[in-house]
Amino acid sequence: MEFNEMKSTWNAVRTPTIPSTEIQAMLSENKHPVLKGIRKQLTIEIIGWCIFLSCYYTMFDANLKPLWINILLVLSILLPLIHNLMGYRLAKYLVHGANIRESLKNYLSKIKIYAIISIVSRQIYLAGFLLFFTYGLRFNTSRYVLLAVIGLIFLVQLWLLSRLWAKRLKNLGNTIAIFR
Amino acid sequence: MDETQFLTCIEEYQGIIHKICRLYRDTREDREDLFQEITFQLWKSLPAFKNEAKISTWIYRIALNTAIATFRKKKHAIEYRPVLPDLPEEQPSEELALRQERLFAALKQLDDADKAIITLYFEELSYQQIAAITGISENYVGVKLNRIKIKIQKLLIQ
Repeated sequence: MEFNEMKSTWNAVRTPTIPSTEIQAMLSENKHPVLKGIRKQLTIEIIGWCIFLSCYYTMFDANLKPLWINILLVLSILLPLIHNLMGYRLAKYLVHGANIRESLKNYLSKIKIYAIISIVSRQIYLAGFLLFFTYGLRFNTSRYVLLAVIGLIFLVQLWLLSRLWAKRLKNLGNTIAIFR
Repeated sequence: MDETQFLTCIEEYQGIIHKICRLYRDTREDREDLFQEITFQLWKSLPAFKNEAKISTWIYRIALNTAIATFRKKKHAIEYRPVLPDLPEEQPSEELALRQERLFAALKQLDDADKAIITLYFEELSYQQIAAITGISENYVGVKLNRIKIKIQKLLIQ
């Protein structure tokens, strides 16, 4: 296929027509597919954690544990929620510059920070819970084995999450490199 | 520009957005999501739009930026059908449809950045306009286009 033929083929592409009423609905944050998903997740998480925080103190003998363990548990719950809120803002505004290269570069910097927080908050969340529920426990062989298994699951999760972010960041980085 | 003017503008230029969606996404569902995402980002970026730029140039920039920046969902296999499901009722001739399918199959194999540059070239934008939208120099646009043309030719022969 000659290049002019490619151009004419491209220009001959017929596209569907979406009426303005449908386009108008797309302007609403409530109809946005990604933002809707994040909002739903946030609402469920906030309700769930509010219920947990309102009853954990008496249900899990939190009064018998040191204050710092309690603070760590609350923080480990709050951090993923803050992370989700950050994700919401990041997904809401994708354009950060006067041209594509500049915008993607700025977006990459933001995504890098978000990725680090994503991994760290997940680990703090898991560690906070583990510390809270194992504090003061007497360890025997079977409990040590269980702890090792949980630790291994944490590490696998950390590895999977890091790999996912590394792949995303690499793809975006490669695209920016081509624009150089 | 108020909401009514914005909607008229999107209605007029939606063909551009549809083509970008077709190039950057493989399934109908993903294309619909990307169309919505681009429309939403255009709306959010509207306050920053300066009237000295052409509206179409601005739409290209935001649409391509959004297509590249959004992470794709789980990869789907590309469906090769003689009649694409999201095309309008009036279909192109069989020969033209086949040519379009071949072209898109080749273009889809390019990097996201190359896809953006070739899209702008196909849409008859000047090197100067392509440079302004992408943020690369005019000279480099020429170099890149030559490389992309060779890549596409190779992909079409395969």
